[in-house]
Amino acid sequence: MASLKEIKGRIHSVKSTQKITSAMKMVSSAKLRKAQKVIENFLPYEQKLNALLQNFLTAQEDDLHPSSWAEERELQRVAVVAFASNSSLCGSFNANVIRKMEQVVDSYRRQLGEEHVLLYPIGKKMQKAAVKKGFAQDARFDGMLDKPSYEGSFELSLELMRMFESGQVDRVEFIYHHFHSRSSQILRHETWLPIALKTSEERLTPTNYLVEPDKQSILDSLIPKALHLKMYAALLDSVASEHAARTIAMQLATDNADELLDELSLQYNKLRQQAITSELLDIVGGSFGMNA
Amino acid sequence: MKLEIITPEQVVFSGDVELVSLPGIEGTFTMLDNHAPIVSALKKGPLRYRKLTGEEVTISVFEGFVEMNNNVASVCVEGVEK
Repeated sequence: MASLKEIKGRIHSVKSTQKITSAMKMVSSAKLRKAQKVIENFLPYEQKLNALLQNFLTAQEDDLHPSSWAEERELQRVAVVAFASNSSLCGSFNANVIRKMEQVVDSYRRQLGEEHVLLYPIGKKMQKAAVKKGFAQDARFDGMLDKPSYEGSFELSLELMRMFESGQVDRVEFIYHHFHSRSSQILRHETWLPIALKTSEERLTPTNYLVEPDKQSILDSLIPKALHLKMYAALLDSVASEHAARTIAMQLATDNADELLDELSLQYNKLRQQAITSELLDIVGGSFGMNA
Repeated sequence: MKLEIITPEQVVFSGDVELVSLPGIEGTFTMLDNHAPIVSALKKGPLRYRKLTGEEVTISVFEGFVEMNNNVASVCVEGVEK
């Protein structure tokens, strides 16, 4: 049985931990709100660009050759971009992405050979996992997560697109969390390049635009923009998911601390009562002895 | 006509304007009210619009597109100079 003093110490330490976790919860929920705001700001651009692309693809005439970005080549080299976070304490967020990354890398290594699989780790936690997996240290993309900007993701997507263009990789895949809601984030594994160009089924009558300079060159520059956009979307999705996961994890920790405190204070009160009772018995017993 | 200037990070401007002049890939051009539907690629350069009050604003934009349809001009650019 622990002594009164020990229990008091534990209560104290649980209380201070609880203060920390609840502060962290508030911080990440503020960050989550900010990340959601960024996503909101980005939606108009995405919708516009997609509508435009859709319009062009539906109206595609025979003289437009399909983009080289959509070309399926024989798979020899593959690059995987995996999004995790810089810090931990966000539940199973990092563990899930890392496990998926390991699965994907392992299966590609068996299929294509060790040196034909490239990994672009985003976030310190992913980097650590990458080094463990035998990839070289690559710390260029840490800053992307702290302050997700279009420019940052643009650089990475530009590099990957160059590699695809020059044939250094034949496929680029993403692994990231999609922010579905505060309490649910869905792990996604998608092919980024070659891009899947799907024309919408319903043949909406495309507006007949005047096109400057010509359809082919518009299409040629629309598709890279759509690619950059997808990279940015994945980054934002992953960042929002991280904050959501951390908010939930910290909420759980705070709730746990509450339960623990209840238990401990019950134990403390019981012990105190016991001590008082035994003292009383001592005194009463002593006085009986004197009277006798 | 309505003008929207949209970047991936924010909506820079949205409102009614009298005219807008854009850095088209083959040269600067200006659009007025009820321009025919058009899609054009834009290059990096200055974008100028005149509000209904007569106030003129110039911002420099990066590469992108403009789409004009139903008297709404949407400028999608990758960023604007801050």
